[in-house]
Amino acid sequence: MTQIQPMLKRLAATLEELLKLAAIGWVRLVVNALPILLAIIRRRLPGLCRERLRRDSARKCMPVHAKVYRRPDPLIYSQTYLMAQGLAVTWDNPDIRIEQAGVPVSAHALQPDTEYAIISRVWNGATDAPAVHLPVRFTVFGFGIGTGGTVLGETHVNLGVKGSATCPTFASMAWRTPPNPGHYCIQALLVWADDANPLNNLGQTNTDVQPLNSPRARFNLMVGNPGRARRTIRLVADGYRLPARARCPDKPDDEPASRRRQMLARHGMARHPVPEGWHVDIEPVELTLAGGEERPVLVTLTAPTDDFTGRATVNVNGFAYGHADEHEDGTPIGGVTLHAEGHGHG
Amino acid sequence: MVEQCKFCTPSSQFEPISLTAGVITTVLGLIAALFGGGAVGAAIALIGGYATLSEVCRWLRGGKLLCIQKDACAIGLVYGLEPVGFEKPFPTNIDNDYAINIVLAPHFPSETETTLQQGPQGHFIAPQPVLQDHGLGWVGYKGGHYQNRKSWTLHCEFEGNRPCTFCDAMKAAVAVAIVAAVICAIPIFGWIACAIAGAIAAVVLVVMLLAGWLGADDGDPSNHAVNPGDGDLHVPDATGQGGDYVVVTGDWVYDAGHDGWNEFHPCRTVQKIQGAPYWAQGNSDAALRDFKLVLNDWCGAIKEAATPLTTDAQGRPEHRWQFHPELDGCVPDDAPEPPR
Repeated sequence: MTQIQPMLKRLAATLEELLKLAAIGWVRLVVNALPILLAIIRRRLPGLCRERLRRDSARKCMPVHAKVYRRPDPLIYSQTYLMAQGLAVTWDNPDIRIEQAGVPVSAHALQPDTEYAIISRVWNGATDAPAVHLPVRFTVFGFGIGTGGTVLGETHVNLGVKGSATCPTFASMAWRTPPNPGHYCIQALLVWADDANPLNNLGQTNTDVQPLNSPRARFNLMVGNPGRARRTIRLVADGYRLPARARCPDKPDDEPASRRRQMLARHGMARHPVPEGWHVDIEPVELTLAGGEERPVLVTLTAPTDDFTGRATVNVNGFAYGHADEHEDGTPIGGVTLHAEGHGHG
Repeated sequence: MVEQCKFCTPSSQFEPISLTAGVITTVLGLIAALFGGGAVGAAIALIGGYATLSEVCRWLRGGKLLCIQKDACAIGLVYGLEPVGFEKPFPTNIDNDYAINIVLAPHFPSETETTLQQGPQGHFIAPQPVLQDHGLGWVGYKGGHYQNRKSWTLHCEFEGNRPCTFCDAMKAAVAVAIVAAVICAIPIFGWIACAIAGAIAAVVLVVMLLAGWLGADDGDPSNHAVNPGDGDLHVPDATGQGGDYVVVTGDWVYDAGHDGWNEFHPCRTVQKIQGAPYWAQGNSDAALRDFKLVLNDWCGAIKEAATPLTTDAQGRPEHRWQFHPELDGCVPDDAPEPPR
């Protein structure tokens, strides 16, 4: 009897379901099933012939659909990536700073043989994939564009998804400056092989400050060809400075094309000429270099007046030309941000 | 991957598959039809067929999956790959899931089942008390298959939707057939109406059967155009090198449709672990202790990603930047003026 009761219960439930189906439910089911027919024509039939191939048991690799597969997007303010998007950049990287005993110090005012902490702020563009034990590699360079550097080391951070308590996260590494005085640039590289966007992982801070002197400020830097093949490096100046973040709108526009237009309108490369009245002289403005070769360049900023007071900022960006893979507008290879300071006494 | 259509069954609602009522009704209906019952007998047989179908569908759509824990998280080495249709001849290939088998970290594939079961993630591949409540057996899952190597693994299935499309299509077809049988059973319609209804029902049955079977989405991207977001997973080569370590999430269940093992079903997410294994491997106390920290870091970060606190934050304008927060990010209205 105990076995018959559930059977009768199930049969009664089936009859009830069938009565509903017979009344109207079957129409809904047929309508719901019709798209499946379209699916056969559109998608399924071409795949049938491949089905046998997919059933081997000894396969070494298997694709996994994007709806299941997760990839983080660790990122930093990456000048070369942003330049490739047509955006102007600053080399005063908002995501890299140097501290001494917890106090931020300017990269251009470092003391020799002194302990500092290099700190990199790291973001995640992905909303569903964290990057745990993310390696952050720091490299130190001499002041310049496209020059070679020395790897300081690697540290690891746990980066949460966008919007979480662990995004951004901060990677820190101790660094003792060399005994000889010098001017250094810091590069941070986020190392993640399975990255949703591997192009935004490299950020660099590369700045110098010089006083104006009747009314010029002179900057000496090295320009190198980081590639293997002989290339022409062209140096281009602009006056871009990172603006303050805008107030949030009530209804943000998330449409990618529209976002891109807004970005280009605000940060577009062609929209930020050198400050009005200033003159930038780059000598030489174009160099043809063998792979790995470096040469000195002199940049002179001339103020509009002898008694200029304040700080003017100019970025000098390097673009490589000539290689078959090179973009027609040049491949960004690096840059520097130069600050000229005047105190109004010529 | 398709929208989830199969859901595991809580222990309190778990019932073994039972086809007896449906089959008996079908047989009785067929006997009645053969011995003069005509359309009425056919209708009874169809009702029995529908009941049988409903029960099979209930089983396939998650009735066989006994919930142990929702949204579980595990880390391991991908050791076996089971594409759609693997070791499932017709008609068992109505289940068009595809799967990976992972050796749970920090263990080596060569370690015994008992050793693996005692590890930090060993509970996933050990029999749980809930199985005894339902008298379910246990054999464990020894997956792998590449070059005849096998290891005790956690089986993780990515969901295909054939059980759902096929069930929906077949239910619709049987419902149409029942309508046809009812038409035939009403004398005033006559034999021409009955024949037309029968022909329509037969066509619908065949079309729906094909549609439900062939139209199902395996979820296996090798059957589709390549999507930029698709990933690929690798098992170790002959030297034991090159296999991917992954973190997977999904519902931890006992699949009563098999001989007896736990698995993740459906496996909802899979992510490769950069630089793995960066922890000590094996069965030493130090390895087991250290790996617990790794497990906490990964599974904690994944859990954090899905908390309402995080998902709510992701919806706020200041977190909807696409390039970099300093470029297309913004400052909330209630925040102080940002320093520059």
